[in-house]
Amino acid sequence: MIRTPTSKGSSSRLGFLGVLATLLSLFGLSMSLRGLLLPGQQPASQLPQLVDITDSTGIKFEHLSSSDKKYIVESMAGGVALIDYDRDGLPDIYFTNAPTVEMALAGKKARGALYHNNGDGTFTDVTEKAGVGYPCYAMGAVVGDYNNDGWPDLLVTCLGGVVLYRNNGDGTFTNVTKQAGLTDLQFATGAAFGDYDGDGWADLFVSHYVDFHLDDLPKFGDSKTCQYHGLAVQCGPRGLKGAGDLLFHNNGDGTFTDVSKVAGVDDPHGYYGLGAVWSDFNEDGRLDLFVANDSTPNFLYRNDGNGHFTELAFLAGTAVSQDGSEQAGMGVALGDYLHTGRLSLFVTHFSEEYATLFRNDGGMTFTDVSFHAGVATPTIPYVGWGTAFFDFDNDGWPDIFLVNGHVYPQVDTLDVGARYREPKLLFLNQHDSTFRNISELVGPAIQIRQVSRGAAFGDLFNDGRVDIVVENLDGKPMILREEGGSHNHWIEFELAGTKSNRLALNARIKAVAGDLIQVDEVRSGGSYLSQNDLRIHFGLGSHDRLDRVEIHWPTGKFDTITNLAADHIYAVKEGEGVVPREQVRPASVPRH
Amino acid sequence: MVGRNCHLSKPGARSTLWGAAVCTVALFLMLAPLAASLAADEDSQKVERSAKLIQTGRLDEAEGLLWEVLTRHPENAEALNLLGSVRFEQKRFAESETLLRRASTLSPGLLTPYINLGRVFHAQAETDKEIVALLDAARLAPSDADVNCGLAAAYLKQNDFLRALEALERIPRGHRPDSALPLLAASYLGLGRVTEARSLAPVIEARAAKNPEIRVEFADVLLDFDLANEALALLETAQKQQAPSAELFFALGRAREIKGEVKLAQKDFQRAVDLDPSSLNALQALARTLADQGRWEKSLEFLTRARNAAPNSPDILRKFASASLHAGQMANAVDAAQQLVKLRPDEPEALYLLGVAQLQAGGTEEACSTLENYTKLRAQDPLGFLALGMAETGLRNFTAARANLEQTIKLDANQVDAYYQLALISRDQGDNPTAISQLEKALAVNAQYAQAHALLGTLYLQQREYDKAKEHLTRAVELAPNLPDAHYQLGLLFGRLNQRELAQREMEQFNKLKEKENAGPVQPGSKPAHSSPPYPPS
Repeated sequence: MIRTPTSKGSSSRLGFLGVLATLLSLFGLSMSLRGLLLPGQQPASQLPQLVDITDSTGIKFEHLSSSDKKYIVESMAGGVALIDYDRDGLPDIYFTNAPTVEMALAGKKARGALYHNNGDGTFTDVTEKAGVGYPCYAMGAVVGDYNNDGWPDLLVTCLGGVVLYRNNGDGTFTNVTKQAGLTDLQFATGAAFGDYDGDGWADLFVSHYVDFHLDDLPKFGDSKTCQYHGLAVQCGPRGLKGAGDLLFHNNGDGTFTDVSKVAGVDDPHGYYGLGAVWSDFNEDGRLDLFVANDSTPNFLYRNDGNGHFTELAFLAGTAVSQDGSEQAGMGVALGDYLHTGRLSLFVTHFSEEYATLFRNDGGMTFTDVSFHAGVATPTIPYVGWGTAFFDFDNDGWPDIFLVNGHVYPQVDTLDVGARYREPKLLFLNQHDSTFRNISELVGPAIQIRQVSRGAAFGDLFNDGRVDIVVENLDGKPMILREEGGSHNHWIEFELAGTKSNRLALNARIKAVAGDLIQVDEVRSGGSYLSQNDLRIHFGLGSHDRLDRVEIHWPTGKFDTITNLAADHIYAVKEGEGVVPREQVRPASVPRH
Repeated sequence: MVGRNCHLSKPGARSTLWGAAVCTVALFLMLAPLAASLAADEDSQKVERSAKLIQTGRLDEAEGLLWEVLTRHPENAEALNLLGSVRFEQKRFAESETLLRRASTLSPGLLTPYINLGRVFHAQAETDKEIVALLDAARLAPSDADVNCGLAAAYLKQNDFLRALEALERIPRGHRPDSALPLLAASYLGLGRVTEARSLAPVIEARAAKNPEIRVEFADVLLDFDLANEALALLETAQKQQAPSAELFFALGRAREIKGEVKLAQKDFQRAVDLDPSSLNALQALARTLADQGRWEKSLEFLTRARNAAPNSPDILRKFASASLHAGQMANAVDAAQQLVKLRPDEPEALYLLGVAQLQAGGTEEACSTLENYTKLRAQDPLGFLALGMAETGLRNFTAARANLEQTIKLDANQVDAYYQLALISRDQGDNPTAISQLEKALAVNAQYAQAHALLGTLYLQQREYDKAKEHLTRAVELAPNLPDAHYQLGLLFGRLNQRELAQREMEQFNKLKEKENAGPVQPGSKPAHSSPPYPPS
């Protein structure tokens, strides 16, 4: 017999409500804080605007795409890299491209593109000269200097492994994948260079997604894992076999050795790996590794210092969300948003989940503070990808930006609130451990709904403001330039290792201006299958000088520099301090 | 002959025409009573034939005949009564009621329209109206067995045992049909007159020789009053002496279920279903016992069969919708609840069920509208406001959500779920201090609320208040050992406290529970997108 709703029965509902409570918490509360201005905050009129300058840059690149995305591989591509390949001090842009499955089966390729930054707001397509147009069925790209010649090399991840382009220093690249020993035939996605053993040579981690082969395609809409809200969609990742990850040790002679198993980072269970970053999370002087996995627990590998890593994401609190739910990890960002000197993690996820902010509490412990920080609820409706902490308003506190876009074009036919094209989100750091969603206050450009994937952040025009290059899965990219707003001070550093790896990957800088103390580091990879500018940028607010800079180089050496005027870009060489820019260029940096 | 006379008159002459006219009028006047009598006979025959056709299920033919009568004589009460019966058989109850009421108005002394009205109301479970109709019938035939048995059954439905007994006692002893005996037993038992009820046993046994089913009916009554042992004895005798029937095994199942022999009971119910695949009682009993075991999908299988057998049964629709919710088949739940609301537009509980189903199926806007209607009808039901609050949260109408949740508490300060939901909103809005205060209120009402302990512990852990976090998370896993997130948070806490072994143990427990939870692959979007208020139990 049915009981009426008025009947008591709370105790019998407890178990059920516990689960539901979690679901409830997933509802977006994005409007809750929007528009509120707290003491000390900038009014909207003082915020810089993000302006879409794509058309004026001369960039004509368009990412290829199939209309219905029948296969998961067609939804996951679109990483973008900032790479100052000619070391002229201006970040250039490499757009990855991927064909449709139909094209690939017909032997057709998709053309990636390298654009040279002309320094005047325009870019020139130099792909053919550079020889980087057709690496593979490309997913993403990262930068490292594998041979320590000072010229940044380009690594492209692909369906079917990786392609390593050696930068020849003359505007051309050579595919050295085979000779470097980067044997990989799988669906490679995220990648990051980092010197995990401190030998001065950047090693390479490559995450893999699913075991996917063009000659054995999963059938669209065929099973429960090929449906979304009852609608037939592409299959995966759930239901598809995962692929393990790879760690290549740099032998220092232009070759790499696969040490994945020995190091304990081979992912024998085949989690669906995407974004990956190296960082010394527990500040013990050794690089640890974070891997965002889609629909499976994330990995956090602690570097044991003996060539081996221990996976402890669960104990550290970064494996799953606050309620213990596996999330669909996509992009990764690191930032000291609290000024504790520790880098916290921000991971983007699928819709109906939320982008997760894992506060770094030190000692390899993290806490999911997404709701408290105000970044959870506005991100729930969207499928998030490329992301970064960056100081949007140069006030000295890292803000968060992320790009979105669904994976199923079919979602437009559903009445579940989600749409295929989605806007981007910008969260302003309120200096009190919370963020304010200012997406609607920084101009119309980021409100334009797109199917975005990669996002690379850097000061494209050396004006002290961080610009954003967004690669969209369907069609042309979006170049966002900061304009207007308050005139806060800033400072940037271009580091060059001597004992350390030449690009100073994972060198960490502590910048002190009065009571404003910030920390950041040089990183390969991150965001979503993308590469940010390797230079480090700090906003300084009203401080027109930096009192002190402490640089912790990957080899363990510390350099301290004092009294630097703001609003400049400084070149710093390991052990020598600030040097003229020319001295950090490849020709001037002695090889070791 | 008369006609012939008329035809004899010659046509053409004026006088002849006039004469013919006079002749016609005279003839009409002479023939009218005779014609009426003939037509009445014909109508009466048609009415009689249509009654037989109705009995054999040939409703269309019966209706055709009845319309022939009613076209000529729209006020023929017997024809109206039978047309009402046709409509009843067609389950067009509103039309049936109208026709029967008209029949009884036209012919207040006619008994059958009242009895039929009673049937119409009985079919719609409108017992009050059924009683009124049967009382009208009883005024015409005070000792009629059918009327009084019907009245007794209706009174028993309302647990009015005394009136039921009075009705049965109006039937002269020697004229009590077999069907009166179980009713009599129920009336006695309801009045606590157990000895008199037991005294009917020999009578039942005597009549069972000719009417074996009477044992089962009597046993059913005994079971209604939890006299399982006596019923079982009777049924075991019946099992030996009569052919197996779905009713017998259903009753056996009931007896065993009352005795706590659930597995045996399920076997009996299954046997009943085997014997009669459309046995609604047995199908529902099987569904219920499976639901009690948490086997919702299996339970739903039997309810699906019951629904197929009785597509418009509100009771089955209710159970089907509720079981669908528990089985996670939200679209089915919405479909059944919608049908229920159509059948029972005035039943608030049907609206609640629909609202909850819509909420779970992701139709939050529809859920809001349905639940708003529900709260208008049941303005004192805190759960309605709780559900509406949750639906409003789903639509991000936080002010309205809070208002509804606060109204829930206003109506029932012990509604811990409302405090918990308010805490979740506060937590989601980054207001941890308020969330903590609301959780503490929830725990003040119900200290056993595991989820509240778990969330409170989580928030304290976030704030690095490790002692408090430990207290609440430990309590959460004590109260609900299968709560994965509490184990996860406890693992994190032990990790913070450098108690690695304990942390590892909690994480292992968490992973075990998650594995169990994730036994089936889940595609993004396949989880219910929205939270839900309590499901009505199936």
